[in-house]
Amino acid sequence: MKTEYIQRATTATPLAHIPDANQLALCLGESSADDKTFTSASYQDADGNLYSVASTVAKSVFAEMAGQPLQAPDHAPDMDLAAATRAQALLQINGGIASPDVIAVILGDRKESAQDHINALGLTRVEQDSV
Amino acid sequence: MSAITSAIRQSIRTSIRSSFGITVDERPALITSLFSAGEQGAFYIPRPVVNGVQSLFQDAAGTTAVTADGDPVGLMLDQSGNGNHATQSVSAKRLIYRTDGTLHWLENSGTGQFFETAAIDFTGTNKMTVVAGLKKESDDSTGIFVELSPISDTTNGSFCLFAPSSNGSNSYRIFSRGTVLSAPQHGVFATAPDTAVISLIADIAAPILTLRRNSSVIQTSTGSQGSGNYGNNPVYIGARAGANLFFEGGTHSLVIRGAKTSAGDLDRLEQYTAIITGITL
Repeated sequence: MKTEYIQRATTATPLAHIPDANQLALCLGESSADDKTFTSASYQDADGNLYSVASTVAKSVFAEMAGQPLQAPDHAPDMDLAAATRAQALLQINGGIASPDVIAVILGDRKESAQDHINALGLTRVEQDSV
Repeated sequence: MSAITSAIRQSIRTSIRSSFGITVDERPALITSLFSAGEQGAFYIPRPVVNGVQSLFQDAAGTTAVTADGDPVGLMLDQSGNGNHATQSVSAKRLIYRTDGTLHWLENSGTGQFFETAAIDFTGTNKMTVVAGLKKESDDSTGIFVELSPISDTTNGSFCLFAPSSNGSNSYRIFSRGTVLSAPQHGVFATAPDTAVISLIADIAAPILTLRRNSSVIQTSTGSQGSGNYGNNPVYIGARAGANLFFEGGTHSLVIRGAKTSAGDLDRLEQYTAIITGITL
């Protein structure tokens, strides 16, 4: 048996766009809890701009869905479609490094590593508490 | 090691190896031995089917089975009989089921994936045994493999296993806290990537806090842990409270037992964990 999740998608959401990006995640995702996809902004670019990063496997329809007019899914019929559409307009798939004006996505094979994707986005982890 | 002990170990190893991947194996006896007296805890084995029962699901509600390498996991059933199942309801925060046909593990990319349980009531015990089969992929950032409570540094009645801590200055590190935190430094002894069986043995009252790697004692601390028992809090697997300190690596198994574990049972458990983690002790 083969998985339907044949791609890895790594998304860098600028701090200012986290609420809208979470509505887009809710719309394209599989769970009513997907509005909690982007939380802490724990990555930064070379200029110190902050991003929340999510990296996970995705089905092949992900890119197709991301490019189509959005509809509220069954698991979130009352979601904020306007916010999700604003985030959708900022999507930049496989377009290079992250920047504060776009929601940058690296989409590749499922066996690619999240860390390689993060490197391709030009991001590094913000120093965190050292326990 | 005495000849008798060696023979027993080999016998156990052979028993487990001969049945590895088959329904009749050491695992049910081990679970019975560890949990049949009502011990609180959990026994996680990240395989789609365990003892003939579907045990991994793609969603937290348990409606879609995990069947193939690469499927995300939203629910991992507790095999201990305590019902302390581990869940993740956010799609992007699910761990990924991986297998090479022999070994089975959950992949954590260190970018936000974790599991949590409902609160587990450990208030009846001041002793704890944790045995984990894992692969630590990186020492770049502090990662939490498993923690009882949102933050063990300050929550009474908690424990934590870091992999690593202090951004690699401790290859692994363990905390235990009654009313006082015991947090010894262990230093560098197993740099990433490291596949190992890591054990935490703690007793708040004694007080004892022992870190073992591959059945060898790395360090035993007798520093005060204060008083009281462990708490009634969620267990987080792969992160601190789901918010930060994300573990990067693979989870092959995890056993949490709110009790002192006999030397014989600990040996059996570590041997079993080693085999399903793909290492030889």
